[in-house]
Amino acid sequence: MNEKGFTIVETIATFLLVSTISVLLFELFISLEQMYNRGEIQTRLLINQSNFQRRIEQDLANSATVSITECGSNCLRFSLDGLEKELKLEDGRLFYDNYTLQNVSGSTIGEITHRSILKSFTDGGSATIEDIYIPIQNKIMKGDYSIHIVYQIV
Amino acid sequence: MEKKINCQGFSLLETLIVSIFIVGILLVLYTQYIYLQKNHDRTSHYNSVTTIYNTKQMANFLESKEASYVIENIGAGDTGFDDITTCQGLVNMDYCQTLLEVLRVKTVLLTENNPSKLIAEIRDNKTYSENIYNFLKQLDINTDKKYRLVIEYQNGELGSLNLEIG
Repeated sequence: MNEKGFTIVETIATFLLVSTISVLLFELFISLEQMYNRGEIQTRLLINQSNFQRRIEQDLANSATVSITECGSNCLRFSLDGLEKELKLEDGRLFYDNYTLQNVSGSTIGEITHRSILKSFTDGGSATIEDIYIPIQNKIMKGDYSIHIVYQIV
Repeated sequence: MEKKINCQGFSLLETLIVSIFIVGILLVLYTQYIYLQKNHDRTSHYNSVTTIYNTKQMANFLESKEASYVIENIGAGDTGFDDITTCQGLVNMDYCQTLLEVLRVKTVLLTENNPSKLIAEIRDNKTYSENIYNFLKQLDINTDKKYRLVIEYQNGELGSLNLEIG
């Protein structure tokens, strides 16, 4: 029976290999964990953005007469077939009518900006282009999760 | 009869082979993961709710005010696509430019429903970004509509809709 044990070369080689594999496994584990966390945050940001924007867009699309006026700082009033709904930013939270944009950790919501641009067509008609922009940034996820509504009132 | 037991363990060569095999598998997994992540980041910029609604605004304008331009320049043209980012040639050029500025648009392209000619143009001449090229390649073209609007936004997002013309 061989009772000499490992040589120093064998020990060093094994130690180096085990260390390399451990580092690679650790890196892989950390990357996968980051991917999972980033994916979760990104999904929540996109779902929130989509839900919020869709509510406003559907209201605009389903209304025959639309007007948008300002109702103070960071507040817009939508008049939709006579029914009034407010879009407002209060204490860092965004509201539209009775719906609130869900908070995602690391996110900041900028000020609501609104422009109404009246333009004419060559056939004599005209339209107002409504531009509403609410910047939303996230510390962890780079990217644009802003709410940007453009609507033409002909 | 006394049974012989192998107490020698693994040789250095065996350990090396197995270790290299494991490292190889890990490297393949890692490169696949990087590829998946890049792919996910890229496709998350395609046809988001914001992009679709904003692309619809441009589509509404073209359908209601510039239908004849679309038919004349896409239907009869050899290139099969047209760049209208500057709104040059449109009847309501001023309105179009304002709308595109408000929409924060980088590039606007009109194409046949099947954008194969535009894809070939980008592949051969690099006329437009790789971003647009990758986006066009994954579009679903199974529709009876004739024309397609493709918009690249300043924030890197992309949107495409068929036009209700023709």
